[in-house]
Amino acid sequence: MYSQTCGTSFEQCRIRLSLCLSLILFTPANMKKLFVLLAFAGVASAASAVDLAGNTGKVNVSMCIGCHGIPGYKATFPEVYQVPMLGGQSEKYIENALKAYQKGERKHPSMQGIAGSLSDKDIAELAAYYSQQK
Amino acid sequence: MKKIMTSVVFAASFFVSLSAMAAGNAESGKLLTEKYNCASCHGKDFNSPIDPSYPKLAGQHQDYLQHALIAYRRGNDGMNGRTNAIMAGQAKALTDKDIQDIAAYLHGLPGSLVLEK
Repeated sequence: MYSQTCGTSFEQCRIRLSLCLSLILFTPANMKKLFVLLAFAGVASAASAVDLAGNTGKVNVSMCIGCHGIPGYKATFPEVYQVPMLGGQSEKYIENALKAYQKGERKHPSMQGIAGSLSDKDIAELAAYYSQQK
Repeated sequence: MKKIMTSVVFAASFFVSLSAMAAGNAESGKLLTEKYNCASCHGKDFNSPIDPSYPKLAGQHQDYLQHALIAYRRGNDGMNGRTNAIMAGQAKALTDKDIQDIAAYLHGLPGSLVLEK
């Protein structure tokens, strides 16, 4: 689970954690130092997550296919209609649409939720993936 | 009994008219797309937009096309709208019937959109 969520392997995480603990233990129990340390740890794990995402080379369509990959699938809330076919659609249009959901220029509860969880890089990859389908 | 029959007939005609509405008239839709110059952005065949920021429309699901036009017409009002400078202007002029007809026409065109995982 660790490796999936933050990109740090369990072993790395354990080493980092024990390092943190030893540093805390062997320095004077100073709250300010502790906070600085925690802040650094946070930055380090965030950075490694980005690195991992950059190296996957795989598009994560798991959030898309539950609706857009099922023939005849209909959005049911707040209105009922078949969700759009994405395969072969213009790349920039897909990218803009996802960003419009992020900004609230397009309103749809599910799509706003999903788009909100995507990075610019995710969006670019998804747009490229779907636009290249034939 | 007569009352029941009347209501059954009434209900049946209601559903028939509903489905007729949803079907749309592709012929009239074609004329409307010409009137509103849709092809000037979405491409002559509606499958080759003049810029990759515009969507291909040919063959897209009819009910989705309908929904998209309604959402653009709604703009920022209501919970399921879209704001887009160009499409807001285009969709504002359309009646429900216009939207159904346009969607029927575009859906019926041959296109390269596909549904894959």
